[in-house]
Amino acid sequence: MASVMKRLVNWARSRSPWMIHYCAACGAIEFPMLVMSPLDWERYGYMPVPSPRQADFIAGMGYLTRKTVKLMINLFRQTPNPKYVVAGCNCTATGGLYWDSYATFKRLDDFFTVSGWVPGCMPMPDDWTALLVDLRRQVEGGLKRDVLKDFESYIKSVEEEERKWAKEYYSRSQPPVNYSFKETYPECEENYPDLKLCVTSVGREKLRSVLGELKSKGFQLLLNIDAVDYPKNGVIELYYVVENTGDGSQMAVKTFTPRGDPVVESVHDIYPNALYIEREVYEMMGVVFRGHPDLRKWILDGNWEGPPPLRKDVDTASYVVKTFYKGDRYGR
Amino acid sequence: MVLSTIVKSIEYMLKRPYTRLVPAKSRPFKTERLRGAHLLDMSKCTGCSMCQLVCPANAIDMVEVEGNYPQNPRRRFPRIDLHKCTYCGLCVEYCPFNALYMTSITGFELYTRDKKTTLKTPLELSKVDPSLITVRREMLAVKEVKPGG
Amino acid sequence: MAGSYTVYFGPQHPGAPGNIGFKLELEGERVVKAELIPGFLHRGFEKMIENRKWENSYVLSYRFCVEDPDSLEVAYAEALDKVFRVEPPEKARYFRMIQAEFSRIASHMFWVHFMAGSTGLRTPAYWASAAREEILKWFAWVTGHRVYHNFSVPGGIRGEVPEGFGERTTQLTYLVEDIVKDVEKALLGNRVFKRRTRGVGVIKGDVALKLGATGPVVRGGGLKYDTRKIAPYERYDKVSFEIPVGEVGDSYDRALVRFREVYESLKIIRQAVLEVRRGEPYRVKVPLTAPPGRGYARVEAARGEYTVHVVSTGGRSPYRVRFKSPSLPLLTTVLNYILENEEVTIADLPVIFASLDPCAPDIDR
Ligand code: SF4
Ligand code: SF4
Repeated sequence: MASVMKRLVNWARSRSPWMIHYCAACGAIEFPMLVMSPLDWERYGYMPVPSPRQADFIAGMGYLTRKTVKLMINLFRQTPNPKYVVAGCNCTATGGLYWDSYATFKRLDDFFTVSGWVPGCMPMPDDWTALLVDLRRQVEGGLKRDVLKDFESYIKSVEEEERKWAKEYYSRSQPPVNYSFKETYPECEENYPDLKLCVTSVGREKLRSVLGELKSKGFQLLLNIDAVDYPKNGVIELYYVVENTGDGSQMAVKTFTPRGDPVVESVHDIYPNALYIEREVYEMMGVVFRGHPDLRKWILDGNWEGPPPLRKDVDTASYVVKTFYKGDRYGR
Repeated sequence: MVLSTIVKSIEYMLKRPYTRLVPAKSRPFKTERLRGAHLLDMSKCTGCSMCQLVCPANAIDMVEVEGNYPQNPRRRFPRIDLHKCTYCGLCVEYCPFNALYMTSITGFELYTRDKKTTLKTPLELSKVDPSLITVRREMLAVKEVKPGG
Repeated sequence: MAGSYTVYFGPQHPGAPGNIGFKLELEGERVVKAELIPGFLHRGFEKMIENRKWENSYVLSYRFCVEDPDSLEVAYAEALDKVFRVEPPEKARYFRMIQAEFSRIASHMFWVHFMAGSTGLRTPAYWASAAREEILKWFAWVTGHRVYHNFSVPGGIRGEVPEGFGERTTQLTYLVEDIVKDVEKALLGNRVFKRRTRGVGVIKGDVALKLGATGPVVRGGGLKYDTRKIAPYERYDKVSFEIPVGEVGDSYDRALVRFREVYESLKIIRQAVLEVRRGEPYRVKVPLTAPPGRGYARVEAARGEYTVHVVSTGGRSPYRVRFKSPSLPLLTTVLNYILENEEVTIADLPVIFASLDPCAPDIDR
């Protein structure tokens, strides 16, 4: 009798697995196809639910940035038993194309036990149906719940190592400046007429006044701040790309700052969106913007503790191979 | 306006369903040049490692296999991790000896409960059914060579 | 102040624009400030591309906006053409346009899910997903993959177009147009939708430009501003199309502009298809090492202007690649401008998110 009851419960469970509605990464782009018109997974009783407390399983759909993994663990803890973890895409399984990314964890099974893997980059919605069918079968066959593994010490050890690296990086002395620079503003240094782009250069002291002047001339749209690091010359080049909203021509104002003292004036009062672009350049390149009200880690917060990753002398690839693949770059 | 939508909905209800069947029965999603899992022709591969060098995902490493391969005296062949590959086809494009192909095998056939099974050894790669081949080198490599201008 | 709270919104929330969070400051129901919490999708593309070689770096280039990958693929291919100083064949130029425009339509159809979901309408979302599916099937037929196509490469396109390319593509444009017309009627014609979007999230085009936004947000605000016209790339100067604009700049206008854009894109595709003929050269060879120099490209993607800046110092790998994302200003400056100038309640917030249509991975990269 008890076993009949149990089988009945398992059967009922297998007919209504609900997934946490959490679009964790790029694999989620194919989910509307799976959920809606062409494949309609409600035929199998599947459904996305907003709340983890009503859900049965969580799907890893793509690369696992560190911040996302922490969130997934939280969600998994809130889900009632029995709960399952499934994985699609290659980045979830081995790191995939992002094998040298400093901001992702490489394997979902470092954190959870996993009940099914769909390889592909990215898997087509039809590929996911193999998983849907198999998960149903597994649950009906009495699949035990998936569990969390010991992850805290792992995450902590990775972050500790990065902090150590950052400390060591900042204590290193910077190479001397060996860089030839000629101010050409208002003439163009390089001109690309087909793109309507003109590269001009100014010293960093004059940057603010030049940008102010350009803005009054009609260059009202700040597109981006590009930073290029030259450790050999001891400088970081900065390009402020502005666009003339009248005729669509662009001006890239080039300036530089020595790596020993990477400070430039903030321009957020001239261009409001510079507030956020400067913050990004600060965390990625370590350029300090004087006068910026809220310079802090933002995108990298929770993802990376080490030195500014986009600097050329920060070799994140070999660090990642050492930490996540035990030194074997073809490992998994 | 709402009424016209309802009319349209009813129209759609009377049409053939748009929903596809479970792919186990029919596979309408496989196209002629789908980039899927690889096939290795072990009688052509010389072990030059070009595919290993060009792979952006580091999915290929070279391993030694048993057997007698006259064109490949060191008997080193590519091993492909299908759980790392991004199916870009660059290895097929750059293989100078035309030894690699792509087939229409995708995640549907490769689905597994055990991740280890998708690391394919050269022998496994060479046993794939050749009738599934979708991408050959001729389709990707450059034919027209013009000097840059 | 009494009745003021701080609430975290997203990333695991159906109303959030992707995997991205917000810290909202509320006064009662009204949202006064929204602070973005990004980083859930950060992979460090700009660093990873530096570790790749010229011939395989393009596999990474388009992955940071999954909804609209081809605009980026085209942009990166074009920037590398400049670095290598090669001129791709005409056919490749036109094909790239077709690819980018189909990607724009697919992206706008994906947006319909989002917009319809946040206003509570499911039917248009189902229909739009069919339109998107048809386009992705076309992509799988031509390029071999549904979402990541790898087809526009430095020097041209990667392979010959399949047999019957012209007819099937033209047919597809008419099929998609039919579906999109239905979707438009069901979405924009709906009374609920009008009530939810009229007068919500108003921003004028020139204001949006000053805040850093480009794309449909600016055009919805009544400004004719489109990179395809002001600085034509590929062969956009050879085809005729209009730039649709809105009037008021509210969420409804932005939705309208997106639908109108789809029709213009279809027009472009129909013109470009005539120039893509089987048997013509499609690709020129690019060397494995690049000369030192600079490559720069600007394209109009579904969400605004993307720019790619490639710095080469010679050798086998790019020295530095920098992308500009159009989504960042949308969720920071533009969103906060709307919140300051308008009484936005929590219920309106998903509608505003959807109508701005940001792409979360493209902020984080
Ligand atoms: S298809 Fe691309 S990712 Fe896959 S093994 Fe070949 S080169 Fe590597
Ligand atoms: S498959 Fe081709 S590229 Fe790879 S080792 Fe063999 S011959 Fe060389």
